[in-house]
Amino acid sequence: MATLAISQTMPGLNSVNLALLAGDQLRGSMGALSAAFGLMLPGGAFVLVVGVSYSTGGQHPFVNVLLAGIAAGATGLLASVTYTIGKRHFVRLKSLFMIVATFVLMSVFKFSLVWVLLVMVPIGLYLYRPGQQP
Amino acid sequence: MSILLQLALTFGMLSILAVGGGTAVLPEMQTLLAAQFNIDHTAFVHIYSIGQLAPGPNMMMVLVFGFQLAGLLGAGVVLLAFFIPSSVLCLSMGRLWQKIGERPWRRAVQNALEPISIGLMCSGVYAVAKAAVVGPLTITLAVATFAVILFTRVNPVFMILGAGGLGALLMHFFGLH
Repeated sequence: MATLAISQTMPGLNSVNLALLAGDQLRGSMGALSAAFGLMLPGGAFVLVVGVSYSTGGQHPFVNVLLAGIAAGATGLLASVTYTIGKRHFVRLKSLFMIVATFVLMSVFKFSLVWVLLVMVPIGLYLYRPGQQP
Repeated sequence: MSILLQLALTFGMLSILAVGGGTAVLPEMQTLLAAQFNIDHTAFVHIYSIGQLAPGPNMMMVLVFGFQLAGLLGAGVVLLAFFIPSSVLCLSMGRLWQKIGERPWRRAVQNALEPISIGLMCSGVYAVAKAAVVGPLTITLAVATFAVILFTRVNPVFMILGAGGLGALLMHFFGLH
């Protein structure tokens, strides 16, 4: 359980972090390396093969409309993932304030991510300091 | 500056900044790739979307940017730069954890980062939608995919492929947009 929490707290992809920690606990550094590598290998090979064909043939008109449809679908997927992860938080005032402030700094004021985090993380740590309700 | 070094620095920084998962750095990645490497938002969203069809972690498509800019070596540099910094941090913290155990501040950090990463994901949805949702047809496809994934157990890959196929047919043969 602690392993899952750490993989979500630390930067990086949650799934990769989880694989690293599980591998580390089972077989040390080599276990961590193999677990992360095994998780990434199939997807990495897939995107390289498909992505390289896109780079060479992406200008074909039919490929372009196909990708336009796929991009619309991927937008729907990303929105649904965001909704599923966020629905607990959208209804809490404190979380909602953090979400909206982060979005406005990033997408409206176009701050760079470093600045967004430098502003929002201290505010978040203060609001969620130990002893406060989440 | 050599392009490999520039790739390593860009993706190394994104790796450290990826709080709450890879999706949180999407808008920043889109901005940086456009500013530093001339990858326009449409190409970015196309490559991102191809990546969503892949098995495993949802950000493996970073390799494609490396490949486009500097060949297989570029893909390798991006892989190492995007995954090593965060992995080393996570492993060190995981080991430290085994020794010191749970602290109230760990929970506070996670609680603070959660809404920030959701805000960043909303920015990611907005950034991707701006390039991908351009007319009535793409709006319909995006909303339909959103609803079906949310309310049914259909594998998202089939939904995305379906949106692609249906969209392509309607755009190609009926001129819809």
